[in-house]
Amino acid sequence: MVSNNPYDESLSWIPAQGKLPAEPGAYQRQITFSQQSAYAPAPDVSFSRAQTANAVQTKVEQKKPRPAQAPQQSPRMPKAEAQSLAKRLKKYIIVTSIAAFGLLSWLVAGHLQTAATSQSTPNAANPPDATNTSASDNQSGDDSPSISNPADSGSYFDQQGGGYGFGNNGSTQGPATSSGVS
Amino acid sequence: MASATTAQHRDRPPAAVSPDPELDFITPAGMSRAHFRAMGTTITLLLPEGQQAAGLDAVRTLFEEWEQTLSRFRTDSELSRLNQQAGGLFIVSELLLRVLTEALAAARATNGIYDPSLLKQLAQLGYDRSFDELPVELPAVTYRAQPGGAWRSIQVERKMRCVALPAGVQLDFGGIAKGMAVDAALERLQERGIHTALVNAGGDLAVHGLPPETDHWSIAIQGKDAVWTIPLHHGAIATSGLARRHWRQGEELRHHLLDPRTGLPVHNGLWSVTAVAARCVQAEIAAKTAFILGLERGRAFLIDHQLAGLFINTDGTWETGGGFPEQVMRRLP
Repeated sequence: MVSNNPYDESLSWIPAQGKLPAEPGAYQRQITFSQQSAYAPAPDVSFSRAQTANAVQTKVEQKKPRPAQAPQQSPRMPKAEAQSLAKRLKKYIIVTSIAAFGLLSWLVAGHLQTAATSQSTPNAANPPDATNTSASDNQSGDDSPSISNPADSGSYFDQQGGGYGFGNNGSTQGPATSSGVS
Repeated sequence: MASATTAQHRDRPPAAVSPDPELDFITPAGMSRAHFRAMGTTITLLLPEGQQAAGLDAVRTLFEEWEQTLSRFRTDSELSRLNQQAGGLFIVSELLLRVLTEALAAARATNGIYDPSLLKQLAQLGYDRSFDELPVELPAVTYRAQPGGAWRSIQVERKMRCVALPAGVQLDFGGIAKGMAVDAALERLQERGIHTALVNAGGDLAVHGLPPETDHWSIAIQGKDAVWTIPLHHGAIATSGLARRHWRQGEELRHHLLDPRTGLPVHNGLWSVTAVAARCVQAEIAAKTAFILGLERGRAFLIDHQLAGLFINTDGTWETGGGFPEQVMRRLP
């Protein structure tokens, strides 16, 4: 059926069903076009598969060692030089191992210290019972209070905001107020 | 004459000392003074002239809110309701949660020497009403001393603001709430643009900024037989001692500073401890803890935490600890 609609130009884009393209290179160009991204600009030049295969083949051939340049046997290293090289390598490995071990130990020690500190010092601003804990956390379980480990209280008594300070000279005027017994 | 008077008083209960004994306080130039009553004590403010009304209003409102929530002497306060519901779960306000959290942190930090859960013991010793209403002499009762430490079993769920107070445990935030209120008052003043202020809640005080033309606030510290001034540049001061809150129960001299290890009032030869710290609540907790620990261990405690303190003994002698500025202490005539 032939459309009689004079405004329908799309029909001219549809190839006839079951017919091969008349031009020999048309199939190759069609494939090349279909492999392009929909968002990519249309290529100025498209290569046929044969051309691409030729290019690859050329590259492979270029990389192949020529028979004339067959592997040459490198001269053997003198024994003394080899021993000296081995010695240097051994030294390098030992020094590197010691340094790595030292670094690792330092990191582990630092981590353990930080963990111990954060576990033993309750923070006033963010106390350990931030979600749901008992007030007895961080305690030894001894019901009798003692002051055996005052270091536990480090963070509570942190002197934030500059702490406290005194004037350099005794006041010559009367007191402004008093810190009476409360 | 003075020493004879002192000697006569050694075997007697200490005489009540007014929070503002016969001292002539000097208001620094450019500042104005205001007073009001709250939390069972006198709140004194020193504020820049011209900002007094706004500052007084802000601080008074804050103290009223805190007292309404935290007073154990008001039956309708939130703290009283929490104490009545011990043994169950209770959803608390942000303020009560904040103070409870601070109290538990302070208890942990002092290994339980500061103990907010000694209200039951205090009440059995007679301190079951506002100190202004407490008679000097109470009838004798058989008091079975119970050690403290009940704070360890209090459960807090912060997100839900839920508190589980074990049955029989009662909380008292008297001192810590005052210290925290002083710190909060200074913060509120700064939010209102008042950057120079002194807030004193019955001896627990903190300063911010400096009065014009001076490099310190002159603060009087009451000893047993003497008064000194120290020049405070910044920070807070609090004093704990026997001078004011004491009474007799039968033949026994009682006061409000209980040793949680025994559940009994402390008698260790100290008359008072004054502590200096960055925040008023820290100074309050440090003074109380050092007092309960006694001179030697109390001083070691202050030094360990880089705090300063003045220890006054019941015989009137005194010693300093930490970085207390002995060299600039000036004895008032």
